[in-house]
Amino acid sequence: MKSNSLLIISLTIIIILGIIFLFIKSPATTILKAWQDLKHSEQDLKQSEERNKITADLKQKKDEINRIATIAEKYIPKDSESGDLILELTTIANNYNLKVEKTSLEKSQTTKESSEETTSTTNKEKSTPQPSTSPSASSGGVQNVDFTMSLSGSFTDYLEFLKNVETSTRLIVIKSMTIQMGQEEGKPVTFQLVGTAFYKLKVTIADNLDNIKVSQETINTFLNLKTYAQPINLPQESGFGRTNPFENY
Amino acid sequence: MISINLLPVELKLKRLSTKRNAALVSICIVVVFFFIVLSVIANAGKGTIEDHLAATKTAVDKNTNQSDESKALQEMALLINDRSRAFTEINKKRAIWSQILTELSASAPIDVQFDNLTSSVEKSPNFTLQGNTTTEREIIKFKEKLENSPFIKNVAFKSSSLNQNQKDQTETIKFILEFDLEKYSSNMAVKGLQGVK
Repeated sequence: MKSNSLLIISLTIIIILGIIFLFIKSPATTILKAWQDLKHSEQDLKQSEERNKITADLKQKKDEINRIATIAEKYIPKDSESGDLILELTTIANNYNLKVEKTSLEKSQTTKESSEETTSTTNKEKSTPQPSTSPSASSGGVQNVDFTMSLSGSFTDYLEFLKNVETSTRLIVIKSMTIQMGQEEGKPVTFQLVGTAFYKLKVTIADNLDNIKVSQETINTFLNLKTYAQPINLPQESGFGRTNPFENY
Repeated sequence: MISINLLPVELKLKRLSTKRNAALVSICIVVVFFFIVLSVIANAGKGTIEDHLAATKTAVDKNTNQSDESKALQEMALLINDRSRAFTEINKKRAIWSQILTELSASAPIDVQFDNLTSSVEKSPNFTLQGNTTTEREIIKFKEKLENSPFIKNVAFKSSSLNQNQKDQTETIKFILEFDLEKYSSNMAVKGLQGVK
């Protein structure tokens, strides 16, 4: 009799707990989900408020941002713009009395076919080469436009040309160069340089709060691009220092 | 006072069982009642959370629907930061040749002339310089000067040979020096060389 009673009690408790579980489960799940959604939405709201705050800051600096974006896009353009690159290099060379003997743009390093197209140009007879870029992808989606230039003129003019190339409105990196003194007296010095310009088809950084803030440091970087390659404070020492070391001593 | 239960044993057991069942039923009723109250509260809470959620979502939508001007500004900011990162990365490996050549010129003794300079950042040695001078002392002076330069390292003397000029019968010493480019930051280039080496 006692065991029957215990069995009934146990069954009753199990049934009650089962009913309660079924009764509570559905609303509990709904509440938990709503709570999680609420937390996510609150986070989204916080982010969107912060984004609006950053955008308000950007609006205040609208003109500056516009100017910097223009500089940045010219510095590393969205397209190879190889024609403009050659034009810019040739113009700088001409400005410093250097004769442009040859200019060429090289195709992708991965291509095994004829990888060079060359145009011979002189100071007065310039022809812009057909755009031919090397879409050899480097880090971060940046692509290269490799070029080769042969020039002739004086060393001091070449130095000025280099300063201008290094501080030009487009990012140009010179990888190698050869300077050869004129074979006969009175002959100009010849220069051959290999360089790379860059372009980037797409913005590859994530669209997050950190990346839509434009720091003063970044603004200064683009405003002071000319500072790179400015003359340095070389120490002077008696018996050393030649303005043009390719000239007779 | 002593109370004596004179009821028969079966009746006593029956009464005990009834009491126990009654207590159990009471507990169950309390538990059920507790959960009913809890579910009522939970439903009320759910309503509050859902209202709050709807309000928050509306606020998010309102904030997200930005003007074209805001979107354009954000795109510009992204472009600026994207280009800045690319530039910083490229600039780490960038050699400022105008400064290096200026340094080479400044390091050359007055009696040294360069004949040929081959340089590349991609192969070592980065520089091969062929030149001529009057005495070997000038080559050593030049080498020492280059060794002290913050732009140059691993200066190696490769060869020298005496050369006679047929025209004016003067003698010159032709030499070849090889050296590498020192890694330096672009900041250094901007600020100058004070305190670098």
